Amino acid sequence: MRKVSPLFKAAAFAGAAVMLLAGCGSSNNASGGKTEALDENAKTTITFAGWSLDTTPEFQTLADGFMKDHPNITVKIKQYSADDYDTQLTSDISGKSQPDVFPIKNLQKYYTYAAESGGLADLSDIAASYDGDKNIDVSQYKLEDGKYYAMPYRQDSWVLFYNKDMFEKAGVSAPDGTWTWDDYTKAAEELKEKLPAAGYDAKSVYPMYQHGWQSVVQGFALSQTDGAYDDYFKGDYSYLKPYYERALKWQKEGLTIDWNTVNSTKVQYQAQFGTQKAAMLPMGTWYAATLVSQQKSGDADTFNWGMAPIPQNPDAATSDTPVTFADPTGLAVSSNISGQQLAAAKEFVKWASGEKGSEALAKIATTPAYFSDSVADTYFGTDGMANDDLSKKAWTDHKTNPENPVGAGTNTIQDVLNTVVHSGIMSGTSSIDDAIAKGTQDIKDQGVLQ
Amino acid sequence: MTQATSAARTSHVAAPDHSKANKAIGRRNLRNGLIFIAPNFIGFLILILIPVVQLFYIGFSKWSAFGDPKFNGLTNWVRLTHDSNFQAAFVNTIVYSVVHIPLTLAIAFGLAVLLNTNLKGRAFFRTVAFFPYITSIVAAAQVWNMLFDAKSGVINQIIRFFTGGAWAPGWMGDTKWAMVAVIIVATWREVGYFMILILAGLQTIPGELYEAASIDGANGWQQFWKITVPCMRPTLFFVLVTLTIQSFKILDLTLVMTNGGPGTSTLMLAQYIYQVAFNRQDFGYSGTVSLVLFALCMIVTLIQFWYNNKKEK
Amino acid sequence: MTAASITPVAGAKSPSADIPFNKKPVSPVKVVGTVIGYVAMIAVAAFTLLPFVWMLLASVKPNNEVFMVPFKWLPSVWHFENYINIWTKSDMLLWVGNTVFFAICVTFLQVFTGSFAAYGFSRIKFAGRNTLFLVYIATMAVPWQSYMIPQFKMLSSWGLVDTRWSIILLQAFGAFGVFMMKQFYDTIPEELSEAARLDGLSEFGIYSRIVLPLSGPSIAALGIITFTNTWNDYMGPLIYLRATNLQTIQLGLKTFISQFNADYAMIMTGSVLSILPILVVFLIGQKQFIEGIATSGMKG
Repeated sequence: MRKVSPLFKAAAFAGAAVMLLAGCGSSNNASGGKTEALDENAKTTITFAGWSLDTTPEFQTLADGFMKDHPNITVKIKQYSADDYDTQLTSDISGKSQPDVFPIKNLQKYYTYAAESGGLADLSDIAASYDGDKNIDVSQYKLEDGKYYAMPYRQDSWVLFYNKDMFEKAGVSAPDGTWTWDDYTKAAEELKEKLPAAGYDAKSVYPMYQHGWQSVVQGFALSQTDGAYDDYFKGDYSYLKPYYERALKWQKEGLTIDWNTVNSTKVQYQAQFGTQKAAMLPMGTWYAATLVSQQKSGDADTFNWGMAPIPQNPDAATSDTPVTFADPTGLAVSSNISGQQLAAAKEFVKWASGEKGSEALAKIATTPAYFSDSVADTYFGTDGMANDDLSKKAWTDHKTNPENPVGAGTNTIQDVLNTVVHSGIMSGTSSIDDAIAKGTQDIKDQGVLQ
Repeated sequence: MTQATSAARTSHVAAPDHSKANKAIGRRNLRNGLIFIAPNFIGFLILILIPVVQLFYIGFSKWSAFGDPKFNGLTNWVRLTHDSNFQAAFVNTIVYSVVHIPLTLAIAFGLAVLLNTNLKGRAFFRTVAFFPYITSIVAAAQVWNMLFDAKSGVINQIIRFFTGGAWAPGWMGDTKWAMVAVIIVATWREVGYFMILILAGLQTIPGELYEAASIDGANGWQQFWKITVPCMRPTLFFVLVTLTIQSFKILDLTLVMTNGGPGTSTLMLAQYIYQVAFNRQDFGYSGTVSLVLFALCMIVTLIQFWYNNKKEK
Repeated sequence: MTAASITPVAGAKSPSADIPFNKKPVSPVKVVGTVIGYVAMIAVAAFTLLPFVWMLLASVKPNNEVFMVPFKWLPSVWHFENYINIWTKSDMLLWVGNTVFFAICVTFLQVFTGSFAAYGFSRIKFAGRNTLFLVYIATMAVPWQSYMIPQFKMLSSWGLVDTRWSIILLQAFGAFGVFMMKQFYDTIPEELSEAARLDGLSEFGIYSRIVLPLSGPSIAALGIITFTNTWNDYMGPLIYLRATNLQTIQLGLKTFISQFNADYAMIMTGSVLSILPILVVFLIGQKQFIEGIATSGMKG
């Protein structure tokens, strides 16, 4: 009896404390109401979140450009982590200490932040100002209630990077903009055969490099299969199957480094393509700027490269516009601020997502969300950028579907599709059918399907 | 011997016939005790205990980290019963701990005893032993993954030498062997850390005890069993409890080395807790899994407490 | 009855209690045994240091070679200038300064309050002691990531987020130090303090004059471990710090990783540099370990 008592007391103490605390949570709803008009003469300071500032110039570029146009507003940048940004933002919003303006990195958590956290201000008036503007698409941020809680400022899209020199030396015909994934496979098989004769080391040089991310397979399957976005929320993931069959085939034939190696040795796609260890690389347009700067610094070899439209689904009807995917990166405003601060924060978001922000971003070779002709000229005018017609076509002309469909449960579905389905299939620990079945069951068990 | 004395004192204090004097001693002890504990306890209570206690409510609620948790009774607990990932993580965590704890304790203790002798260069070897703990975990994972490489890794080349080239484990790519690899690396990483703690314990044993024993003619082994082991009981108990709790809570190593894979073969409870909370924004259910992990730790720790008390009496 | 009085005794004993394998008279078998023993230990030590060696080499590689497949040990071009560039390319000096400040504050508070509280738990029998101690241990069994949001909300409501206080408060009062020091005090024979109590010394007197001087090695061990953990902590600063002038070294090194790219060579350079202060603390702490006590059973 004596032995038990400390434990019992500890439990009782804990219980009492729970009771004490359960009652003292505070609830404070997002501030509603009208936004004051911006007074250009009032001195206002807003805080702005950015990640890895030394290596990511876009945040400082936007802040500087905006402050030049609005001399009385000061934008103060706070530093976040690129890897763990969402962990930090979740804490911030939970503690109501989020900065005045902050990026929404992708769409995976957008719904949770916008619909559930109450930490984001309504930006529908900015969305309305883009009505009828063909240069920007803000629809991905529209929630069921018709409101917008973020505006896009960056819109990358996935294209096929290819090494022109390697294709030429091997004597294989380069991408022409009409490829399906079957053509991609054929070209890779041909390269595999001919690259060694062209003087490339057969052991370390591959025709393609498929990075380890779930989006490299699932993003294409989701965006290029008809009806996949509905299936996604209904819990039918059979659309993934043909894409995984191809991915496994490439791996089995040695057309790319196998996934287990990629995963365990942290292979850098920049290194594989940049040092000519792979002739083709499906990747987001953000890589173009990196490649340019790495070729300048000597981290990457000097060679001719280009961007081609991403290969299309061989099982679907072809259309003139290639279908690809990528989430926009958006800016949101905190719901904790009001008055001039709110007005200034909104003005900043409007500026960054509009043409002026886009020009500033294109100058540093970042793909903006606002796509006018002059923005494209600025982008391809940057030093060292590929500027053949196919690259321009790949960059400008495509239908970009979201990587993460926006809805309740996206978080969970995406996580299960990654940890159970993607890693299960690619590591070879379960068959495609088993992994999809298990993932579907897991998602159902979480109770997030519509 | 320490505990024996204080136990005797306690029973003396508790005896009914000196109640007045005892009450005074009790009050004085309480006052003194609280004075000593206060500087730490105030901080501990506010900054750690209060948030921790809230977990007991969160584990029974639905909560996305925003606003207040909504009590939902046993819903989360029912979910546990048919969550195959949770079950895999639960089993993995236990398998990992059951092997990792004794292995680490034995090596760390052996190493500490060895490096507490007059061995030449002991300061150097102590530093070397501590190095894995301070080496960047990314670097460690990279090198170990290379060593464990199924085809060309050094480890498999040695194994093939002994098996005549016939067989070698698949390590990181194999659902059964990945756990073995994780345990080896975790042990490599943590041995130095626990060695330092044990070493400090060995050093706290007063030299006079050994001196007296030498005069009585006790040899090295006798001194080891009669002095070192009993005097080390409190330290070893501390090391065992800390090691147990740390093992059950293992997170960053598997996150960097295997990310729980292949499949769910090295998914641990702590990683699942993090994943459910921050990737799926399901802090309520994550809290429930945390409570399971907490209960697991506490059951083992209480058994250790009980056993330790029994041995001391 | 202080540490000082023990050391000479131990020191006097050391010549006769030399290395286990190396007692006089020296026989050839023992010499061979010693040599083999040392060769084995050096081999194990080299193997143990392998990841560190890789880290050193990676720090002078071109960035694209760090995670090269197939694996390569040596860089194609040696970029020793990384060790100079890191100071100009980043705010390394600021990060080191901040981290030193945090690590020293936290270590001091943890050692001071921890050893003080441990004395209370170890030496004073007061009502509720065991219960309270159990509560301390129990909090160690809760993974931090499961209560960090409630904790964050609390500190945020006091306006402490993104200040130096947050990190110090967060780390200084853990149960670890209390538990550790209490167990070490339990090792010190009660008779010593009992005698002092009879001499009329107060509890504080016993703590400061008898127990504390005897606990040099354990305070050193707690100091080393707290310092190392604070120095290497990533999640704490990640959750609490945002201002560029408060960044710690682990947080700062992560800024070499942007959304799609990473400068791993620089990260490794920074990681190598960040080991140095820990080594200094380790070596200072180790000095507290009494040299030459032969407690080993191996010489039997």
